[in-house]
Amino acid sequence: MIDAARDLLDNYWVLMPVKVLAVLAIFLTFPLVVGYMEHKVMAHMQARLGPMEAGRFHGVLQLVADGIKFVQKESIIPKAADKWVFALAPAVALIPAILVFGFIPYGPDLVPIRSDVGLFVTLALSSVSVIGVLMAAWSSANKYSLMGGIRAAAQLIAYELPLVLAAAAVAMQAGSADLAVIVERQGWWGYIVGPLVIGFFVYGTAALAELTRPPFDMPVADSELVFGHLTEYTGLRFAFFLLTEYAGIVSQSAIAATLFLGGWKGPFLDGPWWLAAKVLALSFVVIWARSTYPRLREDQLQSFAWLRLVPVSLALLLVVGFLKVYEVGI
Amino acid sequence: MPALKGVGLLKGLGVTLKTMTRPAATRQYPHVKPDLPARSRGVIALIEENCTVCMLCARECPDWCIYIDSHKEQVAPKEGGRARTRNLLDRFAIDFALCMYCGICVEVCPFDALHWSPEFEYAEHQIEKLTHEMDTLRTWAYSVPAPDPLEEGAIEPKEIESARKAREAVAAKAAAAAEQARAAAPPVPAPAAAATQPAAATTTGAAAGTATTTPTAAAPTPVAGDAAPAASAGAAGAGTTTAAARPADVEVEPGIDQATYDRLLAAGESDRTARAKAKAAYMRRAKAEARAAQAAGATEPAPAPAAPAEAAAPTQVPAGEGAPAAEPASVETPAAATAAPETAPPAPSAVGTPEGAEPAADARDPDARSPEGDPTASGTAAEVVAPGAAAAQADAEHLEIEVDQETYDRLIEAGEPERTARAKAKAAYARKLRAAQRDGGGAGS
Amino acid sequence: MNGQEVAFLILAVIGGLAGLLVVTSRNVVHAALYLVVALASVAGVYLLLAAPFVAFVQVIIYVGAIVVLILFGIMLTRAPVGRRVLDNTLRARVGAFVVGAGVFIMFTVFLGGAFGDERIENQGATATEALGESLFRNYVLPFEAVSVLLLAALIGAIVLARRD
Ligand code: SF4
Ligand code: SF4
Repeated sequence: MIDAARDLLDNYWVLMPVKVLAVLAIFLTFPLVVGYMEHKVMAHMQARLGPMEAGRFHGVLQLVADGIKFVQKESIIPKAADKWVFALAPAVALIPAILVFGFIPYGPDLVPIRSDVGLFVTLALSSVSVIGVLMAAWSSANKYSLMGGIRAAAQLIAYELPLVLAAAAVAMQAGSADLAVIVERQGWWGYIVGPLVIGFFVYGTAALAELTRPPFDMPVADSELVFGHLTEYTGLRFAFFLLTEYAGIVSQSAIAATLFLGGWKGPFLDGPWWLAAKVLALSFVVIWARSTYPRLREDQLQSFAWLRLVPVSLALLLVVGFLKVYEVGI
Repeated sequence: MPALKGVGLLKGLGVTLKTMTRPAATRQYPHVKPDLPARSRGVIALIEENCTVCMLCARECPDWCIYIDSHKEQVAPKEGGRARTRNLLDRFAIDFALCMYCGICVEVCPFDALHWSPEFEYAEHQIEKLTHEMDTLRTWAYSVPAPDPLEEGAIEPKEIESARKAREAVAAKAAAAAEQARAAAPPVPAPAAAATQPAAATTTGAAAGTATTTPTAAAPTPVAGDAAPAASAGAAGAGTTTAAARPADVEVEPGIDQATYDRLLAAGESDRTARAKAKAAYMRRAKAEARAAQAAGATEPAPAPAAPAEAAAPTQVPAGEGAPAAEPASVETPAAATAAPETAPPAPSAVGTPEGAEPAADARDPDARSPEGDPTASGTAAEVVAPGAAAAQADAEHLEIEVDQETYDRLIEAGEPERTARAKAKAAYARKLRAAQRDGGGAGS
Repeated sequence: MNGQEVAFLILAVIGGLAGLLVVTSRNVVHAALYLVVALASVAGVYLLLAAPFVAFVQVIIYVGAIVVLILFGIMLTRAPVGRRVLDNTLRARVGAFVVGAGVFIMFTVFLGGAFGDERIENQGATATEALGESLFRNYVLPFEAVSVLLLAALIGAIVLARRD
């Protein structure tokens, strides 16, 4: 029976849909879980209860209800908007966010799409999402959106650099850009023990900024820009952007866990559950940061990236290189 | 100072994490009713019987949102003299869409016809429906909480005072009768005491024991059972003199009488009302106990008096206080019945009361009744002895209202909203109850 | 025609069209977005040539950084919100055409001269490791020279931008 299943799975045309379905399932569940977590964790951190009604038990179905609501909403395209770009922007943001999930090693031999440059694939895909944001910003024909877009562009350029440099430090340490290999070369404690812990913080901060999550949410700063590039979006398109955001949290958490925290490895019984636990823990930290820190000012944001994170990540690259060349184990 | 900055960031994280582990401040409103303070300004209730159509409220209302219509009526003179005219209320409505809840109308009404009720869930989809007419305003009256107990040492309200006087008169008569009986049969004092005071016999055996012997000795004061301390002090007269004295001031920690609370909740009272009443009950009892303890400490060391306060015959409590003169009255009148309902609510309603009907309501809701917070339940006595108009009204105001199920079902079926149906059903119930009382009262007297 | 060639054809057509639209489009932002498509199809060609590392770096650098920078520049300076067309003069158009045609002819001639009718055989996938080896072992000097060039450009830009 198991052998038969294995044989069946060896067939490419059987395996492919299975992989696609699995990735889609992950894509559709984890962001929702994180979204719900954000509702609840943030509420409790503010001494509130958060959603309590939908789904009877502590509002577990709140996001499903939200989804149903979004579907029913009218989809409005502003008159002055560039219709095609406006309509395409959510897709451009969403599709790379889905694809990222295909390259993450979920367990030993559980990599939907294995690539020996998996690290760069994920980075490349998340940088494509940015284009979607810029398209949305410009095509809305709205000053607030445009300003949000400008901020987003400036911020994403600034934080892309430390992000890639920190990831490169890991690739250097592991001697591979293949995410599966990177996980295999780590102990279950990951790279967090050693100089790469700095890389973890740099990567985490930069990823937070890439996701334009608070405290780096200048591009959507609701107190000054209404909702940045999302101002003119309604209904399903808006929901897609939200989904992209939560999928981004999950995928960045997964990449960070893979790069620095030992991925699917754990103290006992290695497997996808460890990755899931780490992803949820990191998502919690993302939400925690959101409910703790106020938004940075634009100039603070820029100077923090260029004057702090970039030099630190360059120095880290140097240190890791030296340790690697002179074979000082980490 | 980068190091310090970092510490601040961590501290911030600590604050949010700590908040997360603490219970939330959220109130689950529609599921959990808000815990409103007793004097909340929810809606204005009208007790139309009290209203004399003086128009003060309508004139003082800053929003001019009270509408009153009335007509004059000639009342035939009782005995001679000319006919009097009097105003009869035709319409009384408050437009809550305009009302700003300033409370001036409630303050200004000289006849206690307007009251604040804490009900607040009367939002409507149509603004005209926010104009509450007389019948709606009347239903709100059923949720008006009982007035706070009077302060210790406050002057009694008139009706209660007159009730007390009447009660004393009855007591004196009863005492005289007992005297005569005793005089007629001096050799058997014990049964006489038992006859006049069955309650006393049930309490402390020792007290009862002394009681049987003392009456003949201390003839002038008829209250044998209470005389135990007096007798041991050898000064029965002292007992009579202290009778008029006000109960000693006692301080009591606030608390809640669980039994009352549970019972009221079971009876369908709102949580807030039940709590308030339970608190009142607790305070009354606790004060009585404390007073009894004081008195006991002053006169004799016997620890007996504390127990009776909780027992079914609380008439003993003031006895321990050394206020015997007034007591016999409460022995004959169903004082026990008024105090007892805390444990067994509906049963004693019929206990030997001449006016039967009023105390029936009374027994169901003792807490709302005795505004002084005095366990001798002079309020009941007032009802029994002198059911004056004012007292009767006060009584109606505090009827324990239940929902008339029939009306309720009918209205719900007719598509009325739940709240309206409940209110109207309540009104229907109250009407029936009052009618029943009137009939019962008529039959009794 | 094998699968690879079909894929190449598709990518070439998409990339070519996108490139054409970049220069003919009457809206700068549209032009920048077509540039994204063109660059992405180039990345696809790299993938076909079994050089995934180069392909994804192309996406990170060009799509993720260069185009974003271009869009940033456009939005910051003259983003034509709504439908505003470019006001290119005829002279600018002719100049652009001359430069574009020149480059096109140059590449055609050079490539034709270098390879002629020779058919380039499919090569095995270049492991990223091998790429790194050759870049940092055999071609270190050009690599460093390029980085010095970039540094010079950077300093030059700062000198131009600073007013004091
Ligand atoms: S509360 Fe004030 S505004 Fe409302 S009816 Fe009374 S007097 Fe008028
Ligand atoms: S002030 Fe009181 S008595 Fe006078 S009309 Fe108003 S409600 Fe009636």
